[in-house]
Amino acid sequence: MAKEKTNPAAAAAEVAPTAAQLASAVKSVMAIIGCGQIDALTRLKGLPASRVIQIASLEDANKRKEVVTLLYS
Amino acid sequence: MALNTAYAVKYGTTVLAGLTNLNTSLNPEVQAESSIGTPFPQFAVITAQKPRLAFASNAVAAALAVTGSTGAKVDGTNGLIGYYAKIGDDGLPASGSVHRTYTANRGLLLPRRLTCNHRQSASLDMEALLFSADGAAHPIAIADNVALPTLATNNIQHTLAGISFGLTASVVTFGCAQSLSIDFGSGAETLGCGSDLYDAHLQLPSVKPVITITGIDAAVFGSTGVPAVGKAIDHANTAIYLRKYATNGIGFVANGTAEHIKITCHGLAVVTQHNAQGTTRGEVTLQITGSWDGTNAPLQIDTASAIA
Repeated sequence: MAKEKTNPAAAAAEVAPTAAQLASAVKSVMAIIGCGQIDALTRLKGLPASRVIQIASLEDANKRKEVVTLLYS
Repeated sequence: MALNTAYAVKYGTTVLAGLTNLNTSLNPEVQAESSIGTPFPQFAVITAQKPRLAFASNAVAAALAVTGSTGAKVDGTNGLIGYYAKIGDDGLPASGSVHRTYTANRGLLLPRRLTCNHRQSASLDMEALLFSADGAAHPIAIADNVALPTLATNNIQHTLAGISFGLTASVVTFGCAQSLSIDFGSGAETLGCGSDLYDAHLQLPSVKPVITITGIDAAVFGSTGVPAVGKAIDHANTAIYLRKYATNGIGFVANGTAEHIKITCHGLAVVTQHNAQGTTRGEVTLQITGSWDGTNAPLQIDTASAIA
């Protein structure tokens, strides 16, 4: 069975979201799911940093509907 | 024997302040049926237990920040602990690690009902539905040698403020509100398998929030307010504010300071009654039933909002 290859360079290149981006992403998840802040943060921690930044970007661009798709894909 | 008293609830690392009651219940389902020959049951058996932790808090901003409108997951990362303090001979909680806790690591902490009356602090009833990892392990672990957590001062409280609702270009102001009640409408339920004593699954098949507001200004009902057939409302044009008392108890935090609670809703508003008893003033009751707008949960709660 072929062993799954990892890409350390790509992992290292993953940029963590800023506090502002995280706040936007939390706001978006809270609005969509109706959960509290702690739950929203926990959910976001389970996602790749790039996805969190993408959610924040969509939220800031007032495109929350697209976040719904992103959350469940 | 030493007396004990409810002390606190902790969700994850957050100690919930302002509790006014704490109820830990096991909700056992016991069968004891009589059969032929004697009226007395010949076999009593516990077929199920559905433990719950239920409590209410006046610190609604902190509590809502935890639960949101649909609930907060209780798990290994964010466990739920109910504390009962052992009372010492001086009548106060005793020192040291001598207190009781009920700890749960699987469940859902739900907001059940938010109530707020004119000139009263808002209160939030919460309930945690708890379940087992495997149907055999009890959902609640009991410990009697625990230290108490540090309590947050219960001086952050909110009360009724302005209410408006509607759609763009047709916003209605609810005049002279007297009471607000939000039933969060969670249909969460725990489920078990194979006659296990404890449930091992949880589902949230429905969330149907209903807001009920009463007021003494009849203008909210009629041609300038909500017509008899009802009125559609959306998040952008609906705002129910709970304003924060100043922490020193003198007046309120300024409207422009983002420390108030703002609740918005998408759904349908309808006046259910205009009621008066004897010669007392009449009251109008408005009911708002939440619905999904395609993106957002029916209720949106911002616990750090300015009042517009």
